[in-house]
Amino acid sequence: MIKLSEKIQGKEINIGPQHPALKEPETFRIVIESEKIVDAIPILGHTHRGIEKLCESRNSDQNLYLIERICGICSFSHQGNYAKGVEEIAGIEAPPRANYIRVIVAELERLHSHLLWLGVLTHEIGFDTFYLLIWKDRELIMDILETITGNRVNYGVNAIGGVRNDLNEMMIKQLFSLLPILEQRIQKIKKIAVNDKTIQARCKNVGTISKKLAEKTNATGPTARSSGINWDLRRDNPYFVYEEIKFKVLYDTKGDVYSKIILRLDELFESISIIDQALNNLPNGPILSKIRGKFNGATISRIEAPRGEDLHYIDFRNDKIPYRIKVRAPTYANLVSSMNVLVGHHIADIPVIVASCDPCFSCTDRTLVIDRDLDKQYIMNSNDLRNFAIKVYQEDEIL
Amino acid sequence: MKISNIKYDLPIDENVIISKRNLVSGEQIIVLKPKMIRKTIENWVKNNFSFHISSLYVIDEIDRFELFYYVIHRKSNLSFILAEVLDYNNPTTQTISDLSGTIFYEGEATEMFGINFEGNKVTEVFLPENWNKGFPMRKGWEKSKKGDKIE
Amino acid sequence: MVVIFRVLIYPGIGFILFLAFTYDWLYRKILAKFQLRIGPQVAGHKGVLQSLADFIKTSTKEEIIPDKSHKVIFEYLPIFSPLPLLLALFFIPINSEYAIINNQGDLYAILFLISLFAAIQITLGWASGNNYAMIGASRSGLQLVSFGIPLVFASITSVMLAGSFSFSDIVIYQRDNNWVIWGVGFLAFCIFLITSLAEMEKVPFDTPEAETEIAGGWTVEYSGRKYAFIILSELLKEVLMVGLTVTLFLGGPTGPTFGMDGIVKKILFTIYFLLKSSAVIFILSLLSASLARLKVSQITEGTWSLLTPISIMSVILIIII
Repeated sequence: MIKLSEKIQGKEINIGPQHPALKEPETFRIVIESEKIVDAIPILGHTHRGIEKLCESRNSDQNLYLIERICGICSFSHQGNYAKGVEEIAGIEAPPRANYIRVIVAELERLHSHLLWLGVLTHEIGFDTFYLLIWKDRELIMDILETITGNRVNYGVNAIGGVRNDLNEMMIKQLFSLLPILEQRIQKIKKIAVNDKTIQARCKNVGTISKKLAEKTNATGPTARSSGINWDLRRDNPYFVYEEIKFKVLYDTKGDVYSKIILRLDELFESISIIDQALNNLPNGPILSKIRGKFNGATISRIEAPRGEDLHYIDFRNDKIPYRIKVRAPTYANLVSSMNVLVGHHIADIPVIVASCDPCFSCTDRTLVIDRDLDKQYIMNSNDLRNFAIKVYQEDEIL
Repeated sequence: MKISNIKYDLPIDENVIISKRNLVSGEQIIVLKPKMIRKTIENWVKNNFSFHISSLYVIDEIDRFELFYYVIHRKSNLSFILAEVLDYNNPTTQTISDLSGTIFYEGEATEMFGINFEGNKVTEVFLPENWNKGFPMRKGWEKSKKGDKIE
Repeated sequence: MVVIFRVLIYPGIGFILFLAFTYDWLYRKILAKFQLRIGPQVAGHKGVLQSLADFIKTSTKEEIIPDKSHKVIFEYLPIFSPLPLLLALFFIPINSEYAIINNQGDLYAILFLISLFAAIQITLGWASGNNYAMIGASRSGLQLVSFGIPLVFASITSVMLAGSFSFSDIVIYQRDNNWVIWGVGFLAFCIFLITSLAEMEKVPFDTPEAETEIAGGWTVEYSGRKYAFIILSELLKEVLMVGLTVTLFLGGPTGPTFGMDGIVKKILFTIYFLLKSSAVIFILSLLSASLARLKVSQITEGTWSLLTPISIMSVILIIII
């Protein structure tokens, strides 16, 4: 846990670990003077699962499904990134059809992630009607993802060397019919976001991250793009088949929360066009070039997750089990810039600014295995538990 | 466009470079002499070389630690890795958290590997308070077994 | 006997409590429709008993008293918090032109009781010794100050037209002439609606409770029976503000009687009152559903630079006419 300043003057409030504004456990110690924020200290680490350490004791295939569970929302990004890295080490390339399917799922994930974020943000500013409207439209994407992959989250669509699920005619037809509906719905959402006065009152000129600050604090993704950094890995370091697809990288120069809303909504139209192109160009052929065995080499694999650049360092040393895996999730990079702009704002701005970088604390906290070492007498196997339950039940009945 | 194909003069003093090697993905790992990373980055800040430190990671090589800074220069679309070899028994280096937003990355390296960043006060990021069971990401560390008593 | 029946059952405490729970259900149901939800639907027919069920369930929960709280106030004040509002509701004519209590200074009394409840809110927030609660209490005080003047000026409009502070006189004036809302009073009606949203602590003026900012504000530490009473007082406030709007601007419970008299007339008047207040609740929930929560600084700025001048202007307009 972090302690930045030893002595704190003024009233102190804790946002978190459990707080209605935060969707995941995390603590922000906020020092205030009446309504103004004087100091803000994040305390990370409430959702540690030790995934990096666990990866060092599992083989490459098992890690695929462990790494997917870093985050529920950007699960494809983490898994796809890892699969891409291992393919690089093994010296194979996924078949073109597999890469196209990956692009489609990645963009669908971006669509649902950005809509989810906008819903959360509007809930934070108390605009529940808009939030429910957005999430209703998000369900369309969740449904199509379930049709394609079998799951609403944690799709498990990647394998090392390709993808697990193929798209059949029915799925492609459904996707084609969904895209115009989605475009229309997002057009409607954007119209509300642009015209609504209360959203503007709460988000304009709030949490402005200047280009200089964004560069200094290593911000990535939409957070950086809204501050005027023209950088998108899909264009600047193309992976999968993004070099064959035409799309614009959008950026803004204002850097406040409102510009992030508009930027993310505009990105959705690009995503829809990417899916459309990928579906039209979808080649036939195999979807998986299976590879097993030992790998040797180290690589850095990066992809543009919905929240920003997701970086995996993968190191195999002539073994099935990786020597070291390092995950740098986008929120980890964006959190510093958000914390820097909190000071000087009002209490009412805390949830807006914290939410503005699309925080995913489960992504951020992932490193260590904390084995709650129990006293021996408390360890129960399933049989003991069952007997215990029966005993309790019987006593209850007697009472 | 592979990253290694781009020719660009890195603003790094040739005298401080020990060795260079490449990752599978094409990025160059540039190993610098001890405690030269901070000076290099100070130079960049002074000369307005806009850089982006994407990540900081440490590898435990049993007899030594290797510390890596993943750097991106966005203007020329160039990425490379600055590295430093640290002594296993006394892994110490200087912080760059005042020059770039790496404050949590360094704190994480401190608590997971026991690497001492001179000048960075953040030593605990993820682990619980009063953690006294060593540095969990080191290779020799073993997780506690069932039956160990809790204090 | 008749007096006791009037005070305790109809249109007294019993009927008022019935109104409180039903209005809350109606408000939630309409809001849910706007937000593409279903709303309460389990307790009773289409969830009509949901608010009552919430009240009963909350009052059976465990109570926690924080160490930092002021024990005596924390323990006993919540139980008394609905009383000023209950008393204030006796002034509202529900089933005839005359309320349970009616005299020449009705409006003064109501304004005093509303301020008294705000004072209770602030004390409750302070007594729980929690930083969130203190912020909520201070915001509550700020809103009381900001919306006080518009509230008074908006309600003065009806008083000036009827020439009396008594609600009975105002209702009779509207029965014999036009409703206040039709004509010069419309501006005052709009101001009064906005103010009652603030008094009811609904979006966009729910800063004292602001769930995503200060996690419930001044109510954050209260649990069990104490919280149930706080819920009840909030529901009563809803009824009070809606009832005031109906009385001051929509002609109270009056309407065509078809020459009936006695009990039938009273029942007819009650139905008119319910219909009118349902319309007010519909407008309030529509406003609440279509806006985002404002910041405290924005609210104070808006009230002092916009709402207060407009309310003064509407009074001046009536004086001229």
